[in-house]
Amino acid sequence: MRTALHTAGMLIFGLGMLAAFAALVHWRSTLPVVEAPGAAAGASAAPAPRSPRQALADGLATTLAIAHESLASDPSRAAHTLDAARRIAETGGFAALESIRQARHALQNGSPQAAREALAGSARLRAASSAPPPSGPLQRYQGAVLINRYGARIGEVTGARGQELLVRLEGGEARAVPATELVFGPVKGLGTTRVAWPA
Amino acid sequence: MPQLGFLSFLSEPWFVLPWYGLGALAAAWVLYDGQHANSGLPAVMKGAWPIIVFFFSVLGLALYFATSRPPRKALFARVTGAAIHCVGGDGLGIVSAMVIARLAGFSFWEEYWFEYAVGFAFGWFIFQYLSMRKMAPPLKALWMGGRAEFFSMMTVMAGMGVVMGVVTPLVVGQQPKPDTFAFWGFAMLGLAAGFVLTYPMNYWLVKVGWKHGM
Repeated sequence: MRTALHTAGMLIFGLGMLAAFAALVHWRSTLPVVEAPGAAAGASAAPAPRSPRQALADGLATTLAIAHESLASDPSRAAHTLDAARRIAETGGFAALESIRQARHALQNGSPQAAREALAGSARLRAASSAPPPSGPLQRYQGAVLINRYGARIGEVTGARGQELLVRLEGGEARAVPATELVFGPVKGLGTTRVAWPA
Repeated sequence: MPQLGFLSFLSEPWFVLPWYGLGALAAAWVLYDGQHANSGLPAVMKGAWPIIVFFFSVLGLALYFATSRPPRKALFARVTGAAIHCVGGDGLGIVSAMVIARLAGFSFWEEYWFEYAVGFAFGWFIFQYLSMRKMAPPLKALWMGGRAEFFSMMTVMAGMGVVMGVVTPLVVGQQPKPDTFAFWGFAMLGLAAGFVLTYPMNYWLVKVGWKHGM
C-alpha cells in the first residue's frame, strides 16, 4: 500500500512538473509579436493587402523593423521578434532568411550590434524572393503550425478538404480556410512545417 | 513580454569561456581527486562529478567540496549526491542529443523528446544500473535503476525544458546552434534548473529507499 502511494505521489509530482513546463512553452509560443488589436489572431486593422504573400511580406517588414529597433533597447523583444521573422521568412521563402539567420547567430554569440548590422540589409533582400508553391497535396500539411503575418502561432492545421485547409485556432475555434488565402511553407520530415494565414 | 534580458550574459564570451575553462580544469582535478585523495567515492560518482563540475564550473566544484568528501552521512550530502548522479548521467545524454538535434534541424518538440530518450538511456543503462548493480542481481538492478530514472528524469527534463522552451527564446531566440556561446551558456542553465527541480524528487526517492544516497 505504501509503495503504491509513493508511486502515485511521485507520478503526480513528476507529471505535474511536465504539464506546467508544457503549458509555459505553449504560452510562450503564442505570445504576440506585434501588440496591436487583432494582430495575434490573424486579423489586422490595416487595409487589405494585394495577396497573402504581399501581406506576409508586410508582416515580415514590420517584424524586422521591431527586431532591429529592439536590439538596442529590449533584448527579450528582439529575440522574440527575430524568431518570428525567421518563421515568416522560412514559410514564405523570403531571401531575408539568410540575414535573419546571421542576426540570430550574432545575438546568440552575445553581439546585438552585429545582429543589427546583419539585419540592416534584410528589408532590401525580402523583395528579391520567389513565391514557393505548396509542397504536394494539401493533406501533407495536416499537423502544420498555423502562423499569422507576424509569425505568431495562431493555431494548427487539422486536415484538408478539396482546396481548403481545416484549421483549429488557439481557443478551439475550427475553420475551413481556402488555400488561396494561405502561404505554404516547405513540408518537413524533421523540423516544423508551417502555413501562414496573413489575412 | 517577460523581461529576461538580464540573462544575456549567458551568451557572451566573457562569461562562457572562463566558465567552461575553469569547469574543464576543475573537472580534470576532480577526476584526479577521485583516484587519489577521495578514492572512497563510489565508482559511478567518479564519472558523474566531473561531468557536473565541467558544466557547473566553480559552483560544481564548491558542491563537490561541500558534499562529496568524507564523511558523507548527512542526508543533505546523500541527496545531493543522488541528484548529481542523476543530472550527471542524464545531462551527458541530453547535451549530446542536443548537439545532434540542433545540427539536424529538429523542431522544439522533436528535439525535446529525442533528448528525453537519449538522456533516459544514458541515465538508466549506465549510471543508475551500475550503481544498483552493487546491491542486486542484473535484472533486479535494471528494474530498480529504471524506476529511479523514470521519476528523476521527469523532473530533470521539466527544468531543462523550461530553459529550452521559454527562457532561451526570450533571451537569444530559439534553439541556438552548438557553435554559439548561447548554446553552452543555456545548456548549463538548463542542467542547473533540472538539478533544482529534481532535488525534491531525489530526496523522496532516497527517503523511501528507492535510491541510495551517494
